[in-house]
Amino acid sequence: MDRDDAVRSTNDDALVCKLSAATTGYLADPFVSVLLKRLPHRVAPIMHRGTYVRTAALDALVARFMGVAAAAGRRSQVVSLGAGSDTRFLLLKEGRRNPGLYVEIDFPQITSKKAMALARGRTTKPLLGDFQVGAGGAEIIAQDYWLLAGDLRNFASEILPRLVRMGLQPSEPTLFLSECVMIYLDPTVSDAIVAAAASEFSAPFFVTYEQILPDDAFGRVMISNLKARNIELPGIFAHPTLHSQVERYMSAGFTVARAIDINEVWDKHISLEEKARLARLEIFDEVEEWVLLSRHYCISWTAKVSDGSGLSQELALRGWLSSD
Amino acid sequence: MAWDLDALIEKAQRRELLPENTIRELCNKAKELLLSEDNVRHVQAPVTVVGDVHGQFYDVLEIFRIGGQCPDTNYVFLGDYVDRGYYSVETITLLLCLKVRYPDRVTLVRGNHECRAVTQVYGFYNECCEKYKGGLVWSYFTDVFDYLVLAVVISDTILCIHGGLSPSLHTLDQIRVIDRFREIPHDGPMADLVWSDPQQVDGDEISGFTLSPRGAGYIFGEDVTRHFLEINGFGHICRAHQLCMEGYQILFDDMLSTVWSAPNYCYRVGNMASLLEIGPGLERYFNVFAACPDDQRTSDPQGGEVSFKALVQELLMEEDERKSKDFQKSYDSYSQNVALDVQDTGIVTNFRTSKTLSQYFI
Repeated sequence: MDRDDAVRSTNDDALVCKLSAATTGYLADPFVSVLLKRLPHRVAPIMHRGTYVRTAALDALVARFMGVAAAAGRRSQVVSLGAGSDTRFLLLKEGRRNPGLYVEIDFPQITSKKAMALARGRTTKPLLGDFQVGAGGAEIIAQDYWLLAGDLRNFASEILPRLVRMGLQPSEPTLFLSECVMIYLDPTVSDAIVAAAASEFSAPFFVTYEQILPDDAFGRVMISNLKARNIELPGIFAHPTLHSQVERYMSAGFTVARAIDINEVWDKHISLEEKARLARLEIFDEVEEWVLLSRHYCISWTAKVSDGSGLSQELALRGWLSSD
Repeated sequence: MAWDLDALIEKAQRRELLPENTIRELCNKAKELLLSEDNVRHVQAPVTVVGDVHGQFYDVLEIFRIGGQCPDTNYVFLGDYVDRGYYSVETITLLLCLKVRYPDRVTLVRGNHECRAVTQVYGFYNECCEKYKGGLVWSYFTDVFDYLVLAVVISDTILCIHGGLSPSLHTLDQIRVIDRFREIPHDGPMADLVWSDPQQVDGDEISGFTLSPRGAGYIFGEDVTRHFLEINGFGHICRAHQLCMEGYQILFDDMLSTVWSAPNYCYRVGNMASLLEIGPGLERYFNVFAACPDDQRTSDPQGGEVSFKALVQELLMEEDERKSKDFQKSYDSYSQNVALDVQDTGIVTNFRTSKTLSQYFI
């Protein structure tokens, strides 16, 4: 299995965790079963909780981003890098809370399976509206949703220009999403993506969820276990800490940035009611491992907001992940 | 098959699964033995105390290499034999064989994972179903779990339990009168013994008992521990239940210690493990060890090619033996082909036997 295949296989893992979390009751997601029919194996409670937390955090940040854009009377655009089997667009569309444009980019091997499933799914097809299937079945182009095939190593040179030609507006607020994606790329490539987002867009936002802390015992074992599956994390050495996650954005030209680990998300941003609800779903006997695992995952988010853009800098930063 | 415990132990040590009716027989014999054991079992030093092993079979073999083979070394196991690791069945099989073979040299204490509810969530039930094509074997084992003792006292001085103390239990006699022959309840003294934790070093100092984040048992502090030791005339409490990166932890001015015996826990945590070796004069020594090296974790007891001679031998084999070999084959092929049919099309994506299947977010 070559490197790219191994990276693509990570989507399978995430999909299994997502479906299991949904069927156990952690997440309400009627669409993930369109992409995966049955669970090949059991998923541990710790993975359910982690899937729930990362989804909740990213959902909150996406919602906040759209609120900021809407408050300023602007159209919001989301570009989800390496989106894989993510169902976020479908959930937003179903709830009529979707942005003006939602773009998903991934390898053709992944987008073609997804395109077929979405185009034929009884519950998903209506959400697409009028759409065309392109690139030999690997792409879907609808009015507010583009599922496109591409290689992120060519983001700045090919993908971004193509998006702009197709109608992505660099002057409108645009959120870039990287959910365990940039970590697999060479740091020069991921830096180029972040830099392109900062420089080519007037009001860019970026949200990343990925691994950190390679140097302790847990981190070393994680890297070695993933290596046994031919999965490498080149990005983890370039941005190994919460601080360096913030730095990567600031040095690219973003104006505000924050990074917290999953422990902080769980402790401070998941309500007691939600925690009680989750506790009723199944036994959870992995407290120490949860803390250890969560220390090694972060959510980092950033915005470049210039005066006169109509977008409040303070709202962009402070409002994200708080309850107001 | 003639009942030959030594032969069974040898098979178990080679990670060969025993036939279902043998497991039933083994569990029945274990229950007979354990029925006559008190909730609180008394043993004499020298003895080696082992913490959670959680189905990490190769690391259990490592424990016997480091601590000494049965029956040369006297052992007290503090529970959590199953769940999480890939070889819970083989682990509990081996330990029960050793208990039945050397009842006075092996003591098995019940952990919070030795119950029906938890094993259905954390892997043992699934493993039994995969390896024995059905849930009967799981029920044999969980029935034995109901018989495991709750506590051990070493030389009238060191109390050993899986989890910790209970607000309902002030004296040893109160532990003795518990009716233990049942599924672990959600709360009460029996649940507390297997679920409680001592308050951690970096936590706020508490007095008495507070609710545990585990959802069962309590967190207890130094004052409660001192009180319990004084009332009962003990010098130390040794328990397991909590992951220790260094393999062990000493708390409360050496009134209490935690021993953890599953190295690189879940093949993920990268921690050390330890055995608590208690000498004849009650000296305590934590023998720290790392995970069994990868090259000693062989997967396939049957090897590669089958020779003509072996084929003939197979034909001449007795019916029982042949049955056990057949199902050994299906077990091996399961463990070697972890297949993922994510699109449910009949086309599988084959990973190398992967330790990371849904263990990380990737």
